[in-house]
Amino acid sequence: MRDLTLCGLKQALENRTYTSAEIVGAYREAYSQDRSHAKPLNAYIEFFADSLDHAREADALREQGKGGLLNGLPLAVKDNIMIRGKEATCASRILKGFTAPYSATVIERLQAQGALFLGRTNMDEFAMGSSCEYSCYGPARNPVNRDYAPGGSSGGSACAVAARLAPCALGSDTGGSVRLPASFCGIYGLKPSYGTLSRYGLIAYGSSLDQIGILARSPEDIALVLQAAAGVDPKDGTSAETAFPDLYPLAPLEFKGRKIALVKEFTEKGVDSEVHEITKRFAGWLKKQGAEVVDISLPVLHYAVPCYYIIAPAEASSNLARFDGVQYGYRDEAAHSLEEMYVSTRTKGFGTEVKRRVFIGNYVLSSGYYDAYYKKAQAVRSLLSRECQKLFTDIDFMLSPTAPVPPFPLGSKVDDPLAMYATDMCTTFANLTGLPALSLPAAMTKSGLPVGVQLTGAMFSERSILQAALSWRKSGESI
Amino acid sequence: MIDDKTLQSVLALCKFSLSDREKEHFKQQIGDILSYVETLNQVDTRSIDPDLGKSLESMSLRQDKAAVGLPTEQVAGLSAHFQDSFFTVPRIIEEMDEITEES
Repeated sequence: MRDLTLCGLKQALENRTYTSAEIVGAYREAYSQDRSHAKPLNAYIEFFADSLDHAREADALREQGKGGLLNGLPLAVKDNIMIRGKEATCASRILKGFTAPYSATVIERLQAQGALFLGRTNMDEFAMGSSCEYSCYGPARNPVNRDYAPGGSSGGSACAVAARLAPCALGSDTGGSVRLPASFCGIYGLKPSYGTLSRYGLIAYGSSLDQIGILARSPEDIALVLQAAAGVDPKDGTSAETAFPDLYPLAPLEFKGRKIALVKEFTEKGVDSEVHEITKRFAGWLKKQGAEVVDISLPVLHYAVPCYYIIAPAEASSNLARFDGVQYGYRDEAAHSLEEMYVSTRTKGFGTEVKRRVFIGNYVLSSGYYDAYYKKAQAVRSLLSRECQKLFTDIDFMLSPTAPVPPFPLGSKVDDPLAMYATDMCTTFANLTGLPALSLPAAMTKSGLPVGVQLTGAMFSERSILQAALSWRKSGESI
Repeated sequence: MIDDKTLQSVLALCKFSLSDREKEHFKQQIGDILSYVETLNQVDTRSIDPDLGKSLESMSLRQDKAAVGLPTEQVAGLSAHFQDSFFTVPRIIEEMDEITEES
């Protein structure tokens, strides 16, 4: 049963092959078994005790001939997306004990269609990381090889889906945090266009970059969830009018007449030779389907990562200023004055990577450095947006690796921030420009580790990106 | 590598502290990160308007309509330090006798 995709489970529920209670029971059982493994995956921070109750309610609705598009279907949710009445900690000590006072719009919309939630998934603290190792609950492991990182920051979500501990999961993507773990765990992961999914109820990291994303083992599953969750939300002023009312069922894409750009900046310097080779082979597959694949160069893409590591920390330093012990979660009770409470709460509450980024953010926004760093980064971001906008008037998709390297062993980059940041080489530009991008599982390395490739499209081209990915999945070919 | 004075002034903005060992580590790492992001200076942006807001096509303003916010009882669950519609914090105003003693 757990081998079925989300759409497969939907059919099984409709055919009365399984009940939702049986499905949730199977995931709960698998979760319990994994906890007794010598190297547990640590995908979930909490498996919800009431998920079985919700499954039974969904089954009762089905018996009455009622229920929405997702009735009785379970999803896992990253620990930074709020579900009313559940803890939401962003895998940080500072938010331990914080109970969400309301649900994210995306959660409400999925619930309105009958979805239920299995649990909260592990992540890098406040979504700052590329390996899911910066978590106050300890790292999640890659289910393909448990000594390797699952990628981050939505590593728990990717791990849960790949290990069949959930059929589908929500994550968030500020610089690649859905696509990287999808690539490392060998599944599909979509970062929608900026504005496609409401961020109301997503605990903010970098507000001009954050998007909720979807991870699954099939592009159709992503289409199903996207259809249910997308649409304008008055509670998020950045949400777009664009909706996808008829995304599911998803049809494969006709590649003939499509133009796909293979970008030199993401395929040469700094890219592992095996990853490079797999990306080239995927380009060959696209050609075989009738697409025109062109080599292009867009030099400004070289600067996406340094640009991101100014803008994202700047926004984070502002967004995380609210965690000071006053309103949310942890407070150092030993503090005698207000100032001492702020400082000791934040000193004990935040982990090292969060401190690094908050520090960088405060530095680049401070008097004397603002123009040299932040303003310069905004200018580069504008240039990047302009260049990408121009490019997508001529092409349908951009093809690149998702990550420049295959999954790496746990602990190998955790104390080397610049090496960790380099993992985001091919993903941050999509957040800086708002473009939708999807990682799809392309091949395995010789040592048996998954490698994903990334398809990026024009704003709100999620449908054709997902269709392209479906064509790949349905082909069943290996490259 | 950043100097001690810069480290201290930015830490004051961050509202967290570091141990001496962490400080040494930080000075090196932050210095390396800043050197890395300074590669942006290689990009010619003289013709670019850095105000991204102007380059975004569809920023719409929402209507100025009154809406219901979160009810107080829902907010109360946020913290163990919520009392009579307020979040309580350590004393800010010193006791009169403490002030007298100091003066």
